[in-house]
Amino acid sequence: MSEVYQIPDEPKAGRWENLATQPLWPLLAGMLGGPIFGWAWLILNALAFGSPTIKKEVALVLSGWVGLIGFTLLTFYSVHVGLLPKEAIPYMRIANSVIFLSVSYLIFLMQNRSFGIYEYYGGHVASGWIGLFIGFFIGPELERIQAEQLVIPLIEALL
Amino acid sequence: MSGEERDFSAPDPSWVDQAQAIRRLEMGDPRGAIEFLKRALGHSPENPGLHTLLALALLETKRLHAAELEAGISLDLDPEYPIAHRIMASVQLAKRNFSKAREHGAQSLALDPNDAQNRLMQARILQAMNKKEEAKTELEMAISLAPEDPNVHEAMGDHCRHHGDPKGARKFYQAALELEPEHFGSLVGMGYVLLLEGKVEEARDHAIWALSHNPTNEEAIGLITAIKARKSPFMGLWWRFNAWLVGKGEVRAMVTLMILFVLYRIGSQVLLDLGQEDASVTLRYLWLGFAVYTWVAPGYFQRQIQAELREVQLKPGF
Repeated sequence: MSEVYQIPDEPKAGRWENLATQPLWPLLAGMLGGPIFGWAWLILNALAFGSPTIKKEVALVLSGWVGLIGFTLLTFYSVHVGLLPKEAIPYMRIANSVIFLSVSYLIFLMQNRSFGIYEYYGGHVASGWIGLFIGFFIGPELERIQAEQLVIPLIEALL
Repeated sequence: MSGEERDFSAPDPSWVDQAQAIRRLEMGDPRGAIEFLKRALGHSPENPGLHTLLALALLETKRLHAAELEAGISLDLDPEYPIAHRIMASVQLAKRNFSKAREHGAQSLALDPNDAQNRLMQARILQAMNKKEEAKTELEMAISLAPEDPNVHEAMGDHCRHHGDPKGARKFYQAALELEPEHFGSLVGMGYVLLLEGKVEEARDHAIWALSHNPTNEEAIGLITAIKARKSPFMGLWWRFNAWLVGKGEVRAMVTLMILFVLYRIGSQVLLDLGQEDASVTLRYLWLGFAVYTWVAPGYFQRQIQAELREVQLKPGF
């Protein structure tokens, strides 16, 4: 055996390497454009620079997404059956922000560690301005579509 | 020659890379060391010493997860390798996993009780667990085992400094500097002592010297930051807040920030529900100010320190 040893935390850049960007950009895009856009970009970024923790990141995004929708349904159901007053809805929405920020920040921390190594080995780093700009306009629209096509029908079916 | 016999006339190629890696580590270049160790491990993937060295280099570059895996591989290959236990203890300490750090520290000590480095490791763990007296005992034993090693005197100096004894710290740093006049850690430690004694200009000379030798050393950066923070309340506030957060570790810091965020959101909503719209808006602006401040302050602070490094020259004969 004479090849160079591969350390487990080293990224293996994929075919979309040109799209790799600092993980801070998708994190900001999520804050401006909502979870769907931010998380989709984080996963795309993980594929682009070959994040070694991509499986964990995908699992986090999926559980975060289920958590967000589940918590919204739970809130409306609790109000509907009288467990919570209507006035509690704004407080319950804070939990949604916490779920979104926790998942996003955990993925950001995971990617940030490997991204430093990716940069050190001369990996291509794209600017995130365009993505941020797109997220600002497209993100809220994606959230609206999700609410109309998925969340509201689910609430109606539940109540 | 049969296939199983080794050809001793040809040197093992991993030895050359290993020697280069050790040299890089001694020069304070762990990233360079990693490259040589990757090559060496390409030739000898079952060598626990190489995995341990790689774990050390990774630890020094703050790649804690990889360092933990490499120390683990080394211990799988040789469970009774004291240095691997010590490196694993260091990794666990950096991850603030005190129980595992203690477990591996104890194993390295049991395997080699007369190694001062194992005693030092044990002292560091005890110090992190706020067991001041037990840490001091370990440090005293380390000094008795290796009185000619400046690192053990430096560690005792650090212990005194962290427990509010600048006089004791000065004594041990001086002992280390007598053994090695350019001992990096002791010169930085002495800078902290001078700062505690209010001798800001002298402390700055120590910081500048240290940074001119190793511009990425955390302790040296911490010293120049502490000096700068003392002069500017604006930056000092951020530095203290940042140091407080960093001290908690990554995940706890995130949880702390999240709690602050939830408190802000609940406070803002409660004020709205109570009809205090102006107060709610004020709270939102305060949060926005906090967010902007924590965003802007690090970059501004960094520029101030770099300007300081450009302007300040060491006094002749320092």
